[in-house]
This record gives sequence, structure tokens and C-alpha cells, in this order.
Amino acid sequence: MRILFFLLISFNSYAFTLNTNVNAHFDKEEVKIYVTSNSSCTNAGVTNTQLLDMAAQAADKFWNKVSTSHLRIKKGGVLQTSDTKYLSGILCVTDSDTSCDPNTSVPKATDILIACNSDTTKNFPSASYYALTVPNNFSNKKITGSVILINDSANSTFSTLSSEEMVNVLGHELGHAVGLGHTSDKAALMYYSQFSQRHRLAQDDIDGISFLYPNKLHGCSSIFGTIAVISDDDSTPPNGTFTFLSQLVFGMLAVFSLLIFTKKITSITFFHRQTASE
Amino acid sequence: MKKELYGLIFLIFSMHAMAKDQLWHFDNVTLTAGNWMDNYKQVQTSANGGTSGFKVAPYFAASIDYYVHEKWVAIPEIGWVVQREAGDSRISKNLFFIRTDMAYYLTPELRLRAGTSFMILNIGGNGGEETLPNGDSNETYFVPSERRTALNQTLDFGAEYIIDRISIRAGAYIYSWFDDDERIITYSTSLSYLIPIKELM
Repeated sequence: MRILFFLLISFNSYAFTLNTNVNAHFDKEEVKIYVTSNSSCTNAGVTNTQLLDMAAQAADKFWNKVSTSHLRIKKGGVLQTSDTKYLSGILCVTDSDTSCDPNTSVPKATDILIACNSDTTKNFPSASYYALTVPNNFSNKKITGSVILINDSANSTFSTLSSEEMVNVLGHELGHAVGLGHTSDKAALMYYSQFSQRHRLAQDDIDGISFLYPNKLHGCSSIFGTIAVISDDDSTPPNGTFTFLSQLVFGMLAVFSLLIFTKKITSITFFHRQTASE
Repeated sequence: MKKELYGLIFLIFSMHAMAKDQLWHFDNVTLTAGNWMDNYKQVQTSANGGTSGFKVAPYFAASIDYYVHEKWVAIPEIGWVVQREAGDSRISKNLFFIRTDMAYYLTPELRLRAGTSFMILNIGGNGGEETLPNGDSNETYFVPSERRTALNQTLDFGAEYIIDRISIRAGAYIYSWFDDDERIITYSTSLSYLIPIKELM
């Protein structure tokens, strides 16, 4: 019996983690990606607009395909800034093995901001590091903004990647930006290495993003068509549980009324038949 | 609301049209056990890009046949895909579903099914920390410390072959069928035991 129970529960392993201990996530359905205007990204081997396009590709290739998650990551644009903190500032002031304490001198981001950074003291002590991502604008459970820094230091290995690998690395960093940590599942995009053969998400990635951004049924946005429930505040999605239950109640009422209606009609039909045969 | 109303009116008239010459009645209660294949062949299962990887995920369900016509049966069903978890990851996942299928008997043994399901996916953990590789060192990450539920509605298709009181069923459950980018299909295979409702009365 114990073996059977073990078989029942142990065939799948769910190993995703989060990058905060409070299950922090963006409190909206659509998060946009921006790139800083002053990022030249020379050592990274790309331009800032190429990075933006690749990040948007990564969002579509991976995270925007999950039907059990309501999160959609969309291309924003170029953020006009002359602040050099994104380019050379240190992102974590106390980066130990346990956590990153975001450097408050680096401006807080809104949504997801990508910049090319050349700091080799803290951010990229090794040229083999591709990128660093930290939600640097969050409070309690709500992420308002995350920064993705691409290694733009001399000899950055990011420049040696193929464009597909760059997209995969950016996909991984987007995962961090929206709240996911690393996983022990080697098949997953959120595994810490091996970015050459990432063609789609693993189930572990899907479960992670579905936990952080669970899909809700909005009104009747079902297979039968879409009827939007308009919320006063766009950032607050309608209560999915309520809409689901209301749909369920509506469906049950429909079935009961159907049964009552058809029973009535059927009995009338029988009555007429009996009358006719008499 | 208009759409829903028109849909309901259409449903009532079409069901009534099918049923008007027949006796509506409950028939079999069905107990099902099978294997659930989430997103089969549509997720990466290895670091080198592979998508194979058959996994065992047992599920159990109960349903009742409600005849609306000689060849048409409405089959409400509830089910549970057994909790899946990793011993040391402290994360678990449960999937419940509420389904309504319409089945059509092609032959006395073979019936085709189509319908819709509400999928209720619950994922969460007990919190805690996990140290994992990051770059050339390690970093501490966090295990979810609460449970959250994702709701989806799927379009379902299936076929069922019935031999006496046993049936073999294969089903496909399409998430986001209207969206080319998001569409994903989950499959199931199962064995069912049919109990005539008269025996239970």
C-alpha cells in the first residue's frame, strides 16, 4: 500500500522557486518591457533596440503561451534617460548567498527595464555572466518594477551567443523579473544554465508562472466567446473565483430550467398523445 | 448578457428538439480511473530540447449518464487528478475538473464525446528556502508559502468503447482553443466501470 501511495504522488517533481519570500508578483495582467535609451551595449554585441525586440520575442516564445496564467509580457519601448546608474551602477549593495538588497541609488523601474551594464565589481565579476535581474521596485507582495542588466563589460560572453541563445537568456531573465527563482529541473527555462536548446517552457516553468499569475475566468471569456467584465481599475482583475462560481450557478440554473421546461413540454405531449389514442 | 440569453434559448430548443420523442432518464453511474497527460509533447522535458517524457498522473472521476435521446447522452462528471508533488520541494499541485459532455452513440458500443470542462488547478507550497546554483556560486530562493488557483475552461473531445460494464476512453482537453499561440492540449486515457442506476436504487 505504501508503495502504491508513493507511486501515486511521486512521478512528477515540482521544483520551481520564487525570488522573494512573500510570493511577490506584478499586480496586473500586462507588463511591458522597456530598454534604456543610453544603453549602447557595444560589448554585449547588440543594440538596445535589438535587445528590446529579442526580449519581446522571448516573452512570446515562452511566457505568453501559458493558458493557465493570466500574465502577458508585451513590448513597451525605449525609455528616454540619461541616468548612468543603469549603465555602471551596482544593482545589489549586499549580495550574499541569501539575497540581494537593491541599491537605492539605482532608480526604481516601472514594469521591466533592460539596460546594458559594465560594472565588474559586483554585478558581473566574471565575463561568463550573461545577465543579472532584480525586482528593484516592490513592496510586500507587489512587484512594480524589475531591472534586467545585460553584461556589457569587456569580454562579455553575452556577445558570443547566437541570437536564439540571447532570446533564451532574455526569456530566463524575464522569468526572474516577474518573480520566479531558479529550479532544479534541468528541462526548465529557469534552470541556471544551458540556454542553447530552449525551445519551449517545461511543465515546471508553467507551474511556476501559473502559481504567480493564476488564470481567472473573466465573465464569459470562455470557449463560447468573450464578454469582458470591465473593472473600474484596470490593474485589478475581476475576481475570478466569483465569476467562475457565478458561471457555475448560471449553468446549473440553465440546466434546471431546461429540465423543468422540457419535462413540462414532454408531459403535455404525452397528454395529447393519450388523448388522441383514447 | 444577450449572448448568454440567446445561447440558453438555443440550447433549450435544440435539446428539446432532440428529446421530444424520447424518454429522458438517468442511466449508468460511471466510476473512472485513468492517466492524465498534461500538455503531452508540448513542453520541454530535457535540457537538449526534447519533448518526450510520458508521466504517470493518475486521475479518478465519477459521472452519470443522462439520456436525452436514443443516441444522445449528457454526461456531467467530476474528477480529480491525484496530487503531484516532490518529496523535498514542498510544492504540490492538484487539478479538479467539472465537466459536461454530450455523447453520441455511433454504434451500441462506441460513443463519441464532446463537451466542456472547468479546470481548477491549485498549486502551492509550505514555504521555506532552497539553495540552488546561480552563476558560479549558489543563491537562496524561496518555496511558495501559499496556495493559488488557476481556472480554465476547455473544449473536450473523446471516444469511448463500451464492453458490457467496462469502458475504455481517450480524451483530449483543449485549453485556449480560440488562440493559436496559447492553444495547448491535455490528454487522458482511462478505464471506467458502469453501474446501472437501477442497481443503486
